[in-house]
Amino acid sequence: MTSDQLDEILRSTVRLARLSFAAAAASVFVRDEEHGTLVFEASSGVGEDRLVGIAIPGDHGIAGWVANTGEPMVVRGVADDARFDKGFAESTGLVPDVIMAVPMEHRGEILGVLEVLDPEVDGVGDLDAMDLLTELANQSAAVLALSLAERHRPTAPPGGDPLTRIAAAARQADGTRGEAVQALLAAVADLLQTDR
Amino acid sequence: MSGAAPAARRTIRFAHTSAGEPFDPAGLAAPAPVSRAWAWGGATGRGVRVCIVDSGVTAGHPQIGDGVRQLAATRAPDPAADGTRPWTVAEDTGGDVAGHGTACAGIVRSLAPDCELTSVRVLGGNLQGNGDALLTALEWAVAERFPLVNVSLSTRREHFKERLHDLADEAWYAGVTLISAAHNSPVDSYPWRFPSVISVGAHAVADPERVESNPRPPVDFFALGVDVPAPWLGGATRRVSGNSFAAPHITGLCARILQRHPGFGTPQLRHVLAATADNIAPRRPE
Repeated sequence: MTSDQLDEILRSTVRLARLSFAAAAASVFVRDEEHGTLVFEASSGVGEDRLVGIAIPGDHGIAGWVANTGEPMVVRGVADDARFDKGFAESTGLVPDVIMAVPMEHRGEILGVLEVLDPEVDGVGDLDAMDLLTELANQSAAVLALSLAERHRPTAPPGGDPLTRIAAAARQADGTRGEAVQALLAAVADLLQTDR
Repeated sequence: MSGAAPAARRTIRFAHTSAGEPFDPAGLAAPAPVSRAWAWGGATGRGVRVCIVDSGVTAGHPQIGDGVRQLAATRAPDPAADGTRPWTVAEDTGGDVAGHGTACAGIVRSLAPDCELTSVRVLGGNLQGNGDALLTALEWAVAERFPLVNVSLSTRREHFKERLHDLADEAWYAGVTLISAAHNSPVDSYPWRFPSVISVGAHAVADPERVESNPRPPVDFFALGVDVPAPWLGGATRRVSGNSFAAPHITGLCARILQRHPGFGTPQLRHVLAATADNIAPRRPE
């Protein structure tokens, strides 16, 4: 998957999230574990042209909580919050009253946060609204996981030795994926063993 | 009691939240209804020690008050003899940068205004939702024998499961009741998923004392988790929604119960909460 393809999918996700809840804006933050930040990866609605690429502290506020725990949340009255980064919000052209934020989770790993600002949930209710947004986030998270994996994959010279390329890729796989890769390689080794 | 249960919803629920179902009284080991007057009538949680494992608590918030002990799970600054940097619980001045712990503490206080609160921060600063911080905080709370520990967070990481499971069992035997928010999504995470933990999801009935006993485990109870007024950062008040905010309602009610019945452990608290729930169906004639 190319970077442009991922961008298009995430842009579609935030547009769909914003339209589904008649919200003022919607954004996807992606976790940057190395720098301990959350980075705006896509945004739709008020301030969308100013947000992409901006990083915020990974442990602060509503998005920080959701990114660290995987638990969705709706908070009302945000605009009055003295600790909410009002200066930042005003720079985007929107000081929201309501924030609904859900995790983008894939195979137990929280990759980011999908957030909608000032959603209309009166006819739906907060619980159903969070369910709906979570399902939408999960759908995009699978694509995001694929893209992030490709982004961090070492580039091997095209046409290089296949065993070297496999070894390099296997070293980069971690977590559940790493275990699956090891199991696959073990099975291939067993299959190819000539004295069986 | 707070009136009749709402009609069961027709929507299909994806999450660990109330569908408004009644609870069959045949599942209660009580020959007659248990009254809330007996369970917690007149109690304010006085003298009951409650530990909040969360993002920290904003000290001096008008809805929480002073006197909250502030601690954090943290790594020792210097390596031990074996080269590792062990985790420990130490005094904390980091406060709450997320708002979540302040909200949970305030909800507990709203129901049990005289309980004694201790906060152990496991998020924010350099902790980044570290599972080791959660384990360290819970180990400390069990060792300190807090009768009630509110854990409005969980981990899905399997490699913490076994240690958390052992710890939850240890808490059960030690008379330490862990009250944990169920994950909002229908996934397994820990510690709420263990039967030794009282697990809580959300209902949307605007009554902070309304408790629903869930006829469909693994979630034990539903409490108010929608549009909950709660203290927030900077002395503000917000209205918040999520299972995270349902759990401290149960913790507050348990603090009241323990003031009147200090000998109760997790099994007794779970049974009293079930026996006094608002969604118990009418008893059938003997």
